Amino acid sequence: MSLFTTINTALSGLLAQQQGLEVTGHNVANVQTPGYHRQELVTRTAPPYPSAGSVLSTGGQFGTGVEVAQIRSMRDAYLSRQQDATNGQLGRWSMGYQALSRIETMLSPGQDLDLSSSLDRFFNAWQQLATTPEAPGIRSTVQAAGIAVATTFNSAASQLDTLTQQANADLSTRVDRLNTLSEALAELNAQISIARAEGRVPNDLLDQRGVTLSEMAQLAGVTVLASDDAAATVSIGGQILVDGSYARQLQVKTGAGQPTIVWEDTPSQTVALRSGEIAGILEVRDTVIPVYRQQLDDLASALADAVNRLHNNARNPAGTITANGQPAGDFFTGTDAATLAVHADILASADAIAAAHTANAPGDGSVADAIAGVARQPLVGVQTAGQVARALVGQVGTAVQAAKTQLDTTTALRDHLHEQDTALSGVSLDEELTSLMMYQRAYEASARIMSVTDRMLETLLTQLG
Amino acid sequence: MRITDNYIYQAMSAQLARATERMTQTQMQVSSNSRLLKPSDDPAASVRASELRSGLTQLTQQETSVKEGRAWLRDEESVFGSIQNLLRQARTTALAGASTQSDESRAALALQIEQMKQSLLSMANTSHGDRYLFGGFQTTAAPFTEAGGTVTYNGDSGIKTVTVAGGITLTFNHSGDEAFGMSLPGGSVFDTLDALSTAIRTDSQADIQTQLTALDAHNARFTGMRIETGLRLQQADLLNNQIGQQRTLLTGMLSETADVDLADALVQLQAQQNAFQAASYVAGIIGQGGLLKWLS
Repeated sequence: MSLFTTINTALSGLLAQQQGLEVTGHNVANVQTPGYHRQELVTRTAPPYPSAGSVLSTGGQFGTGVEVAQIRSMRDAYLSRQQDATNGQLGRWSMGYQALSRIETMLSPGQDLDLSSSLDRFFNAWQQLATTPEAPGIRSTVQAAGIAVATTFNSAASQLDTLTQQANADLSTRVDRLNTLSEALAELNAQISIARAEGRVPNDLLDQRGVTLSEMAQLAGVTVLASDDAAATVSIGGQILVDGSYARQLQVKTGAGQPTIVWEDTPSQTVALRSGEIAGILEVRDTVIPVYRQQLDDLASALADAVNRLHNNARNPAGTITANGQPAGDFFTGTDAATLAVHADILASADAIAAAHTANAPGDGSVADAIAGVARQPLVGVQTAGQVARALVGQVGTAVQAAKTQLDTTTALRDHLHEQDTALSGVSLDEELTSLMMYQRAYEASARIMSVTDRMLETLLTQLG
Repeated sequence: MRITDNYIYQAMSAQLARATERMTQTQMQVSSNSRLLKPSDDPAASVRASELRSGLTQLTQQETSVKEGRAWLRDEESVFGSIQNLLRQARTTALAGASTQSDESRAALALQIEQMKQSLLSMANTSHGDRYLFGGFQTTAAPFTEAGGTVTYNGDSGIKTVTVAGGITLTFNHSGDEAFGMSLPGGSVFDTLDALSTAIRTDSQADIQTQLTALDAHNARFTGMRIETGLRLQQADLLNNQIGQQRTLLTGMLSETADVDLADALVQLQAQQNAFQAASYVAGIIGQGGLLKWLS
């Protein structure tokens, strides 16, 4: 053992503290980086001299300094998988809640603007016609009320259609994003494998891959099957999506009915998604919107039929005569919420509205009286028209409430997992600054040892030479 | 547990967001005086509130219809009263004619009867606003016309009804031909008055008696119809009261269901504002701390 060995030992100290500084600097720079897991310098003693089993006798093993064992990043694979699963749920519920909220606003725009109020005003107009059929302009009121009802239905149907189109557009965007991410993941897998093969743990690449997996989980609820430090295998709907550096692509297939999501390489196979934003969008498009649309359609068609049965001369056994003395036709045309409209004859002239059974009977309001009575009759099942309209709003309200609860619960879970995650892998500036102090002092101390040893050498060389 | 800077800032901002959300929700409720800003705030209550509003809207229309009916029925009852007075007068005049000797006096009395017939004709053409009471469904033109002494009925036998809630039918009128006996075998009330006037002129005791009997029969019919009208009016009055009571009831229930308890809400709002301020204050303190401040 010589003084030069001591210098080397001090040097190893300097280099190690320097690397420690680098790691600290890296942590501090990335305090805000999403998905960053803090890194730690792990050191160990350098191999002692002489090594065990050597024949030299020196009276003991001497340490030769420090070496860097690894730069370890603090990550927990199990926690990451849990977070991904929660992100998937979150994506699904947030899409559902968003869509349902929009439907709620659309169906309940304000106290006097909803379908129930519109129906009330419609039937009130008929009752007024029954009370004072001779009044000038009373038929115009009925005409206007009829137009208002039809317009409310049309508007509701059209807005639901718009939501469906929006959902399909959102779907397309997200599938494209997922494809991009799959390819990025495959690329990252390849790079990580190469680094691994070279004997290095690529911490930053792993962080990036974690972020990619997290976003994929939120989009499509993907399942990560095997994620050792080498390669992550990702599956979706029970099928492999990314395996090593190979990524399959998804596609939106249009055709009869609503667009579906299929594999690009086997377009006949649909992808079954159970969580993630895409699943949320599909759920809204395929199960939520059609149900409400069906209820609106049923109501519109039942209403049109009930009114026409009483208004149309050919269908009313007692006969109906318009204000012009002609046999009356239908009041409403159309078969569903989108096509419901007031008949063209009545749009042209309110005098085509019938209140009377017989001709030349200006005081006869019996037909109008009967039509006003439709408000009190069961129209769809056992519910009256108003009850159906109000029940629909109630249904949507309940669905929104349920979605909000799911969303809040899932958000709370996500926050809790995030808390655990940051506790493990988050950067604490106070901690890093303390490490900084420590590395700085250790560096100074090693440097001091070097300079002392250097003086000792100088003494040896100058005094003895 | 390790607390990291990221976690601190995130938790702070989440708390502030939650406090703001709660505060804003309460503010909106207070300023709109409605607990139910959206159906999802309380779906069952929203449906109930919507139902109550619908009920109130329907009540308004029914009130209008019932009022119209009451006005019509009051007019009819009043006319029937006048008609009965007239018929009693005719009877008295006829009796006087039966016991009068001189031709001139009898002629004068007969003339009175003829004038009564004209009054009756005018009453038969009573209108309520611009609609005639006794034309059946022919409400836009005077139902009774006279030509050459004969009164003809131009209306029909329509009975006007309106159905109000609960399936109650309100009947408005009696048709002119029923009221004035236009199709009776013994002749209408106008015919009877004509015959009475002739009988007085010709001083035919027998005829006067016959026509007085017919007159009594007409009067009895008017009594019956007047009672009917009176009963219908009672029904309409009752309906009107019920509608008023129902409106009060529904308005009360609506207020209970949908309105904000203002005192409660204001207290809550104050508490939430305090919580928000406290959270902001704490955020300010925490945000400034850290080791960096103390290292040179």
